[in-house]
Amino acid sequence: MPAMQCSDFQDHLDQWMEGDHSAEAQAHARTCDACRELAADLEDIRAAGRAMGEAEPPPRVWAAIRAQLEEEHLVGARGWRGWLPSFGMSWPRPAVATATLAVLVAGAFLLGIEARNYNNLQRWTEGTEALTQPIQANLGNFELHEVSALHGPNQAVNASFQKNLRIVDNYIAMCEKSVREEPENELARDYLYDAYQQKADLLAQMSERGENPQ
Amino acid sequence: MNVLRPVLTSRAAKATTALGTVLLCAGSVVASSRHVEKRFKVDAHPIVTVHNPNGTLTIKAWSRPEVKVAFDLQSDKVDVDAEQSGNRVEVNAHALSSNISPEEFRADLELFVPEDTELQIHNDSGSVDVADVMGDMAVDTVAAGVDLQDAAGYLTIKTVEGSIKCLRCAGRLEITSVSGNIKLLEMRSYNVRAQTWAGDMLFDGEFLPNGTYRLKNYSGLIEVRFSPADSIDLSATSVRGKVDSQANLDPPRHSRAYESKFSHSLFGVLNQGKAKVELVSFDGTINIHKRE
Repeated sequence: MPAMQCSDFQDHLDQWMEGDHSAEAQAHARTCDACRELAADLEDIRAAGRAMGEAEPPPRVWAAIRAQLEEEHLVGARGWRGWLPSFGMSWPRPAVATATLAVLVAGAFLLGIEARNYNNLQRWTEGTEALTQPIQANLGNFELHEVSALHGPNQAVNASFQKNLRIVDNYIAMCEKSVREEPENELARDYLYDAYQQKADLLAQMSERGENPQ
Repeated sequence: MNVLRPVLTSRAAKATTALGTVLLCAGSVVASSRHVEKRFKVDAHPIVTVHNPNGTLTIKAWSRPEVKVAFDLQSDKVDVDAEQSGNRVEVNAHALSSNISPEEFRADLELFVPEDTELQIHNDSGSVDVADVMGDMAVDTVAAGVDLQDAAGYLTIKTVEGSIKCLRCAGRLEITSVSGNIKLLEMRSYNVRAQTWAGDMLFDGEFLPNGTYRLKNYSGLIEVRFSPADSIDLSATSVRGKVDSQANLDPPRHSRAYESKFSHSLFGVLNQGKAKVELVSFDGTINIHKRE
């Protein structure tokens, strides 16, 4: 029997994450750093998702992700994606903004794996939009609050935050343009999600400084 | 001044006047600044946390089992608390008044710590310099640059726009920045993950067997220097920029996640490919050049 290839292993990821580690898959994971790390990354994301049970983003965010996944039959009644937390109703406190985005990015990442398998351009584009629009909306609201609250005595810090927020916004815009132009460009999409994550981190930092302005 | 002018003809008299001027200036600085020193006895592996919103922070290792905290305050509106709780020393600079100017809002700190100290540093603006500390380290700044020298342990550095320089760092290194430049020189680290969005990155160090080295930016230059004897499994991808390599690589052993028609990529193995090197940029240039 020929040895398992990377593409076979990625097709087998669903079973792998369910605990079904076939001898072929294990043999491949032993010799392939990239696939072993991919599986390890997914385990890390799952662990992070479990640890974020207290995160409370607006329900519409989770609903949008779930609806999209269900519509595309990318999630079943039960599966290894069940680790994604069920969210409550309240607006996220600044301290959990990063965790919120981590969940969204994790969801996007998982959708990306499936989209790669389906290789459906339209579905791919719509899926990305469905995921990024609620992120944009939430970050926009969060940003309005944090920028207006930025009034600490350290003007260099205030200026730095604002300057770098503009930098990240600019990258988000450029990444979105790239994703629109080349919906199958996985790296462009990864950068887009990274940029959202970076913006959430930045806003969380601003929030921390706002709460402890010294 | 007219009265004094005839006297100021000799070189000695000029020197005396100059010295007097310096002393007067020094006197005025002393009058408006305070220098404070505190010492704390600690056991092995102490933890030192520093929170300094603005100013310079210099930390050096020494052989004594104690932590020395020295600071200069330029204003009465700023103070520094330095307290010990068990084997932990906490240093916290803070404003005493809400009506404080950016110039007044500054504390310059100098710490001496045992070599195995774990450091947790928050220094929003100014600078952070750490030398010869081998314990784990977490540094978080906004605009402050970070300069680590001969550090080891698990090093986590996060800045918004502060530049980062690591000289002869070992252990495990994780760096994230929005727009800071990153320089990693004479490295001996087995695990490096560095990311900046709008900064340049330079890695010039050893690629240890089984080590992993991942550098990622959005724009700016990523430059990695290698020697022909290095053993690396290289992956370099830039979506919009160029990849320029002087390495004679053998074909890669496995397929790559980012191998795509949308990117400029280079994959290959140098010698046995024992260290994994992954370079990713969106709009920047990636240079893999021979060490001079």
